[in-house]
Amino acid sequence: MTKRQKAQISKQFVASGKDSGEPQVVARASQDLLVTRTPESMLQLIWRRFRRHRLAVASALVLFVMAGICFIGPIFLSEDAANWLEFTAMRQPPSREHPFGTDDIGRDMLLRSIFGGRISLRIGVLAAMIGVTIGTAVGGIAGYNPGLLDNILMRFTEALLSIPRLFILIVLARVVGQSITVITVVIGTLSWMSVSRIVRAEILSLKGQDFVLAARAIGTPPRAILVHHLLPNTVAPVVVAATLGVGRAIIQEASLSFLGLGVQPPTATWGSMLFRAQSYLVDAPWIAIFPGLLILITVLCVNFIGDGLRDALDPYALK
Amino acid sequence: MTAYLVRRLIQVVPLLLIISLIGFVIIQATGDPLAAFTMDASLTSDDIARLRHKYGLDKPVPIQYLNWFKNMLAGDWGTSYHTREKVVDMVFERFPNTLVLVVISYILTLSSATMLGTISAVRQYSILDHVVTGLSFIGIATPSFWLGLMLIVIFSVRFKEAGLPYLPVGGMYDHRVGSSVPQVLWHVILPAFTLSSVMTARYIRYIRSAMLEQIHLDYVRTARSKGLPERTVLLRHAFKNVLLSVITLVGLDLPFLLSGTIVIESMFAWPGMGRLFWSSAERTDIPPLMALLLFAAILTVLSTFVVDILYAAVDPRIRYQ
Repeated sequence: MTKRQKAQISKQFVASGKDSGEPQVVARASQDLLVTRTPESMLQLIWRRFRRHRLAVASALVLFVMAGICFIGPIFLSEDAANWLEFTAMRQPPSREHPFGTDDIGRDMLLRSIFGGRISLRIGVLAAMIGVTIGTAVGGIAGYNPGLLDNILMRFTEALLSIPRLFILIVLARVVGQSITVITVVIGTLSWMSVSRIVRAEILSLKGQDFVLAARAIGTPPRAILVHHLLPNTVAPVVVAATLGVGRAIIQEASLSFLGLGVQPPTATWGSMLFRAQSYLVDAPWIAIFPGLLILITVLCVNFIGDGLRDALDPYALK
Repeated sequence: MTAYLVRRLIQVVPLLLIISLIGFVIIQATGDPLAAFTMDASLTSDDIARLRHKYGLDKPVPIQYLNWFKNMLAGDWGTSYHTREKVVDMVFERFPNTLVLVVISYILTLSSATMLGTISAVRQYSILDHVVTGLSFIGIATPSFWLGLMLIVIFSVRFKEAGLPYLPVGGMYDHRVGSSVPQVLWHVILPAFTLSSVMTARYIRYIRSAMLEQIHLDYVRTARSKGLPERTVLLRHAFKNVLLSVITLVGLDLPFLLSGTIVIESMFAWPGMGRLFWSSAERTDIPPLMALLLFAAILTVLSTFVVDILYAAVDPRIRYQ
């Protein structure tokens, strides 16, 4: 029952009590209650629980505004402006004209942050989506096919997890190429391992339950059981993992670009802006401060949203 | 215990085989190693064929894999395209430096996270707890290299400007003074702090929640009610149980830390494996790249193995059949 409904009912009680004070009015009020209260849908329930997590809601708001600026801004601004060199205005501290200052070759840091943010955010979201897709597929197949296939897939997952992430990321980026698309795909295809483990564990524990037995008893083919009955039940942990994956992918892209091994100039990403900043820490620390702060804020928000979703999606929570 | 040890060891072998296979596939994907020679006009196609035969590149791919694997085991990791140095020497020359950095980072993380996490749990919902928890949230979201840049700005640039003693920003020791233990310790402060920051933030949260779980259990109440001083209750009883799960974390975090060394070592010019990896990547120098990748993977597998054994040895409740 929401607060508003409660208030309405009590108002009705008070009003009706004043009118006549007869018990049948009370009965009418509770009848109204039965009529007005439609069952809550799944999404409403999740939204109501998510809303309780104030930090998560605030983070979602901040992220929404940032994404709005990064994706809508470029419609009105041209990328040439972000790459515009102004040699008379090199390494200027933040001012009214350049709120984030200018970099070593006179480019406006705010514009570059917007265009860089667009790419960083896009890489983060797309890479997380790729990772979740592969992870769900691998985890689903492994969990539903015990024996050899499960064993092979899980050993492979373990092996990939044993190779420190940045090592294989750099080698692959170096070998395959350093375009934005390639970097996105490489980060995505290297981030499915934890998701596949989560999905596999969930499926193993769900497989023995009665609803799966019932589905099998009425002759549902195994693939349909996996797709229609098992995988939908793993959505909660997968959504949380996907959210946290966005933050991780953004940091990984930034690490690559910071090392000069990611997206190549003049394209700005938050990481590549930091790469340039290293050489000007003495004279122009603001070149380093802003892109890093933006990464920090984004990842912080993503993590809070992930925490909020974890609580909101928990099927065992009571309210 | 011996049976468990042997069984775990048997599990490690296929894992290493798969890792080596992944490594080999990547090497194959890097293209023809003789590509540079085919451009050379002074070499006839006969010469190329002879070279191909000499390096075993005319053999079927599975045989090439077996040969490559045999060489890796024998310590023949190839020579750098760039410096013509033997890769195995390059790696082991840098390994101790990375070891120093990683070990000091672990010490920093464990000591500070233990202290802050425990205090934060004991004084739950105090101002200190809120500050520590808030900082650890921020710490987890901070890209370590950016934190490093900010620390350089504050402790090196600004401190120097203010005439205070400032921290060095690169290398392992001052070349005018020479290498010595105090010099290395002085130079390791910034990189180690940067490298361990994210891990510390995570450990604080972990230790705090693990500790909170423990201090509400019956055995802690028993310890208190029999009149033990609070210090003993927390450190000797509750913390012992927290420590067990921290041990596993330490092992599992090695790949994370090794990844971190690439960024931090290149940033602070720390002459370790991570910096070697970075400079090799910049020059697309494949042999050291692959050797370091496999070496890091093997270190990770071994650390997981050691942690499993340690865990079984330390916790009397765990008995593996």
